[in-house]
Order: sequence, then C-alpha cells, then structure tokens
Amino acid sequence: MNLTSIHFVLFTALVLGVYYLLPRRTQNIWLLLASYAFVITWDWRFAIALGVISTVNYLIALHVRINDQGRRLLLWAGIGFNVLALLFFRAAAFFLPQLETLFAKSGVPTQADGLQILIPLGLSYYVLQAISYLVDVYRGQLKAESDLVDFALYLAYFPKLIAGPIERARAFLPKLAQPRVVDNDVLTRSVMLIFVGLTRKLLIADMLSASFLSDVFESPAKYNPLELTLWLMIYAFALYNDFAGYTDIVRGVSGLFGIELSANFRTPYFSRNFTEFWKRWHITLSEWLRDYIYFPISRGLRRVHPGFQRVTSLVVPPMLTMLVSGLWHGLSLHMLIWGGLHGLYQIVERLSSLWRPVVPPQNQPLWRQWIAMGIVFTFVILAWVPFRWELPAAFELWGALLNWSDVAIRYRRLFFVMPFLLGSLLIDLLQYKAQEEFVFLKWPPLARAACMAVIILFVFIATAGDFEPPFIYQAF
Amino acid sequence: MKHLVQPSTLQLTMPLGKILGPTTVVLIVLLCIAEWTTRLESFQASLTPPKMGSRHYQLGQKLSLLDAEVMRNGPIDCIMVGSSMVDVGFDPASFQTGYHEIAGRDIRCFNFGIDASSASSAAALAKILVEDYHPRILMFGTDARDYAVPPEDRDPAAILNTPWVRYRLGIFSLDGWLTEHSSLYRYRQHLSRLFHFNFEDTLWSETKLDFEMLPNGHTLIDTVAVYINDPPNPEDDSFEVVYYSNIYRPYRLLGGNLDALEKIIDFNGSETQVIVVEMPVSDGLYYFFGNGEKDYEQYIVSVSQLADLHQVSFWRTEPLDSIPNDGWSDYSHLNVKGSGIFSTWLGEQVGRLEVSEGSAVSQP
Repeated sequence: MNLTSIHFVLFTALVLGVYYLLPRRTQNIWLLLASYAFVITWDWRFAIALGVISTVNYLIALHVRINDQGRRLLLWAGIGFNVLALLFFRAAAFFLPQLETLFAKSGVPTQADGLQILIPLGLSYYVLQAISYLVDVYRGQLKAESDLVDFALYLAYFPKLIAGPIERARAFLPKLAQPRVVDNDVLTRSVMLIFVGLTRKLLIADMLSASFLSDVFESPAKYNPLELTLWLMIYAFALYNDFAGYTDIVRGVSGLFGIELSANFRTPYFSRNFTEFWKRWHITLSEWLRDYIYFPISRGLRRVHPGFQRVTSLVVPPMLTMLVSGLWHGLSLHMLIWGGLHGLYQIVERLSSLWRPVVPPQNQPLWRQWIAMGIVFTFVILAWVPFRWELPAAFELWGALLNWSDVAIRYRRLFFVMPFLLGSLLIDLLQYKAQEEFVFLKWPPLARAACMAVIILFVFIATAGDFEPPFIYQAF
Repeated sequence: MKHLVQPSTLQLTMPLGKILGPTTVVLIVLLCIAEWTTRLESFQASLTPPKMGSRHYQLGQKLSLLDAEVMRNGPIDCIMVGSSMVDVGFDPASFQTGYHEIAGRDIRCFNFGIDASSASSAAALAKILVEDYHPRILMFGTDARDYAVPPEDRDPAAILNTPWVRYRLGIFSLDGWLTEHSSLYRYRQHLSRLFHFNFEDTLWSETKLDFEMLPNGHTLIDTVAVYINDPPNPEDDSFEVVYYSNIYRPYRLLGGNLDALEKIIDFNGSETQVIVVEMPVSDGLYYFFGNGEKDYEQYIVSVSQLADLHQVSFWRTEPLDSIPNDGWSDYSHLNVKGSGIFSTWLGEQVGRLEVSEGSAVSQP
C-alpha cells in the first residue's frame, strides 16, 4: 500500500475514524492491529519478521533490566540478534539472485522465486530502533517497557514503519502512555505537513525523477559535463524531496493520531559545513549514529588509549561512523565509498581545529556563509554519485566531469525541469529564512487556501498516470 | 469555545472554516478554468485523444475521429463494429464505391472495429454508438473468435471493464460519470504523462503509431502474408500461431457472447437497420480448429439461427472467392488490397438490399 495511493487514504481514514472513538489503552491496541494489517498488505511474511523481532527485543530488554549478572552479555546478544537479522536479509537479498545466476550459468536448475528473499518492509529502520532501545535500557536511561502492546507498537507504528523517522523509545513510548489530543492547532500543523509532503513528493521529486533518461545511470559518459552537473543537481533534489516529502507526509498522518514524530530534514542544502549537513539531513539516523556509534567509539578510544592523540579522535570516529552509515544504506562497495567520502569531508573540515579555534558558521560574514554553502553543496552532490551510480559508472561520471570542452545542453527536459527544482529551493528558502518549518502557517488564510487548492488540483492530475515510483528510502 | 466533537482525542473548534471555505472556493474556480481549457480546440489539437479510461488507444481515437467526421459532414449513415478484423478489413471508401455503383447515391460509413474485442464488447459499443450517432445502418462484422471462450475467461479487449463503458451501460461509477461529463477528467492522464516527461502516446508530434488510421476509422495494413493457405508449422511459436491455437484448438461457443449478438440484433428497428456480416478468413485458419471446418460451421449455424429468428440479414462471405492470396496480412486479417475488395462487395450488397427494399430504410 503506497503512501500516496487512494488505498492508503481510505485505510488511514478508517483507522482514524475508529481511533477517535476509543479510550487511550484500546487506541494502542487498535493502532497495533492497524499497523500489522498495513504490513500484511505488502506481504504477510513481513508481519512475521516484525513480530519475531519485536518479541525477542521485548524479552531481552526485560531480562537486561532484572538480570544483574549477565546484563552486558544479554545486551550484546540482543544487538547481535538485530544486526544479524538485518545482515541476513540484506545479504540474502544481495547474494541469492547472484547465486541463482551462477547456478543458471552452470546449468543447475533452480525453482522460480526459490532463491529470492524479500527484505521485510522497514526492517532497517525498526532494527535501529530496537538496538537503541536495548542500549538505553542497559544504560539505565529508560525502563524496559513491560507492556508488550506499547513496545510492539513502538516498532510497528505504521506511519513511520516504511522509512522512519527513527524514533527513540525514550521519547516515543511516553507518548503512547498518555492521552493524545488532536485540536485545531495539531490538525492545522498536520494538514500543512501533509500538503508540503505531497508537494515535495508528487509535484517535485516524482517530476524530477521522471526527467531522467535511463542511460544517464548506465552510461553517463555519453553526456557532457554541464548536462551531467544538471542531472546530478536534479538527482540531489529528487532524492531530498522524495525523502523529505515522505517524512512530512508520515509526520502529518501521525499528527492526526495526536502522536508527533521527529523531523528528519532541516533545509540540508543550506548547510555551511559537513557537520551541519548531517545535523540537517536524515536527522534521526544521524543522531542515532552519533549516539550509538560515534560517541561509543570516541569513548572507547579514550578508555583504551588514555593519552590518545587528538588527530586519532579527529579521524577514527567520523570515518567509522560514516562507513557504518554507508553499509546501512547498502552492502556494497559504492555505498561504502559514499560513506567514506562523507567521513573524509568531516575529517578535512575539522583539521584546522588542530591549530586554530573553530568559528561557528553563523558567526562568519554572510558572504562566507554563502560560499561555504556552495562548497558543501558541490561536495555533497559529488558524493551522491557513488550513492546512486554503481561503481564503474560512478568513476565514468566523475571522469566525464573533468573535461569541460563541450557544454551545449542538448536535452529540452533539462530546461523544463528547472522550475520544479527552483520550487524546491523556494520552499527551503522560505523555511530557512524564517528558521521555522511551519512558516506557511503565518501566511494570510486566503494565500494558504489558494496554495492548498493549487496543490490539490496538481495532485489530482499528477496521480492519474501510470508513473508511481515508490519512495527511494523505502529500499534501504 | 464550542467543541464540535469531544471524545478524549479529537477536540476541534469552529474556526476551521477560515481555511476550508476559501480553499473550496478557489479549488472550484481552478477546476472550472481547467475544465474550460481542456475543452478548447487549440488545447485538444496537439494532444492524442483521451483513452476514456480504456487501455485501448483505439477506443478514444475512433470516438474522436467519429466526432470530427460528424462535425465536418453531418450525421453518419452507417457504422461497422467488430474486432481487429473489422478495423483493418472494412474500408468505408471502397464500401461507398460499391454502394454507389448499385444504389446510385453516396453513403458515409465509419469503421469502429476495436482490436481483440468480442461480441460482448461490440454489443456495448453498438449501444453507445446507436444512442449517440443514430446511424441508419449498423453492421456487425463478425468472426468465430467473437463467440469463443477467451483465454483466462475474460474479455481480451477489456472494453467491458472500462468504467465509462459500464456507466453508459447503466452501471454507475464516479469514474465513469466523470469520464462522460468532464473533459478535464478525460485529459487528466494525458496531463499527468506530460508532467512526467512521457510524451509518447500523448503528443501527436511524439506519437508513432504502428499503423496509419484514416479519418473514417479504417486502419491500413499493407503487409502481405504468403502462407495463408498452408497449415501452420507446429513448431512455430509466433504470437499469431500461439494465439489462434489457444482460441480455436478447443473451440467452444460462449453463451454470453451469443447473448451479446442478440443485443446487437435488437437494435434492428425503424431507425436503424442491423446487418451481420461474416468477416472473411483464409483457408489456412481452418487448420487451427480442433475439428477443422466442422467447428467453424458451428459458429456459422449459431449466428445464422439467431439472425433468422430475429429476421436480420446475415451475409456469408465464404463464396467471396475474389480475395486474392496477396489480399491477406495474416490468416484472418485483410490488408489494404483485400479490404478494398471485401468492402466494395459489401457496399454492393447493401446497395442491392436497399434497392430491393425500395429504400425504405435508406434515406433519412
């Protein structure tokens, strides 16, 4: 059930209609049932995977709380279980089709679909939530949840199941334990998020994605550097709007249930350094990586080597963290290179801190801030190359960007698509200047009404065709 | 403040209308502007006709061509419905020549053959066409496939599943109603494809049709099949051979399709004369039937009996020996040459019928 389909609208309406009539405790049971029903609409086996992972983590956390002797061992067993589950499905999905091809080449017959394994919907996201929950319980930052319904709902809650946001149990579980209120203010904010999300996804991201010619990804060297630069920018904005649009939609939908979800994006392409970029891009993943990878590595290094060098602390934690981030996105060399590049960017930008104090970007002159934004954006889109392109093509693309002898734009669509790219920039610019995600709520009612009407009309038209791409981050 | 609803979670108060009202008003204005724009001739001229919710481009295209023909030259005299055999096999221009030869006056016909449609689809379209265009002659070019049990028990043309067709048959759906009444809704899929850079099948300038379709609805095919009198090679796995084998090998008549023929025949009356015509097939087609010509006769007898019962003309084309071997594009489809010969013959037949009946139904 795609989030932008009429089926999802009807499903949500039905769930909401019943939800509003129920008392709090029953609301959670109802939401859990609805969430599993939502999962089953994709594949009933996904519900089994989710159920098993939820139960195992629930039980481990209870024992981590009461078992003083083997707490550490249990924690690692829990983390190991979650990581192995993720690796198993990821590796199986990656290697089995290759194995099948190998068998086929060797003339060994295989059953149709026999070697195919689907990665359960949202696995990468709820596994991270489960790990953070176990660690928080172990650290004593959170009491193990004794209510299986609430815990299962924490992992399965359908608005955030497909691709996050990656919520922390210590923030999310208390929301489930208290009565929810949907008043005018919450409703207005939720509806605004849904409208902005639909605009980003259906009217910007899908439009930008549709403009791609298929061979841009297969043989990028066919294009000149100016065209490739534009394709890269289009990809960067398509990816951003696709994921930010998804997040806005699910936050808006969740808001209708009176459950606020975390923001994942804060105008990331206006970042003035790479550290800031990761505070603005996929925020819930960045914070997870910071708290459960970066900080433990830093602390570990200090513990193992009490006199350890500042240089080591500059290099190892960011590089390892970003490599883990790359692997989380996909078990492949090109994703590892993408993570490695971002690790490298962070190391390089922090090098100067070895000999002079760091000036926060907001304290720098405006012109320097804008130049910094340009530099960060340039390097970020260069890093999107191995994120999207397989390795030989990625190197081909980087190589083609070095030869600027031919700069004629031969494809009309590169011009046609620009208003949509500028539309994305405009939304971000308004939010960035106001430093307020809900800036549109300050507009006069008539302006808001006109915007909403235009969006409804365009969504009505955009959803008529046979172009229904899923959310990009759904695949991770 | 007055609460509209007050269970524990939902706590909404009145000022909601501040946004909802103006949004609705602006939306209605925008929809009206968009509806008006999509009705403009200049807007429609550069776009291919809307598909009316069907997966068949032919349905929308033929409706659009028929509308244009009626706008240009007034009401149409006759329409022929049927499958692809009609689409490529009935040439209204040759029909007019043959008719004029006998009756001494002109007749304007339109070819409304749709690929892969069955008798049920043809009956549905016949109802819509008779209601909207009031032709004085409705011809149904029929063949054995029209009555066969289709593979997977469904109508391959899916015409009957189109919400607009179902709506016109009296089965209400919002989709069908909007397709019938709103130009914006009909062009919505086109606009969506344009937004997503999918210009093929949407802009005339970017559309490459496999075959040329004339303004009278006739699709021209000029390929020549040289094998049409030979039995098919059992190892041939071409689409044509596999398709015919699947349909005809265990040939069975589907009751629903014979009922559909009866519905077409029911249009026969004072305003519209119905003529059922056997579409010509090559000798090679008989090889596909499990029981050869015996199976084929089963279809002919069933159609004849129904036509006789309702006193409607059913014309066999079996004696039509004048279609040469190079008049076929495959076992059952005529090419340009074959369609010209068949249609001229058919025009003469209709001319003779009208002359013999004293033009009782011939002139409005």
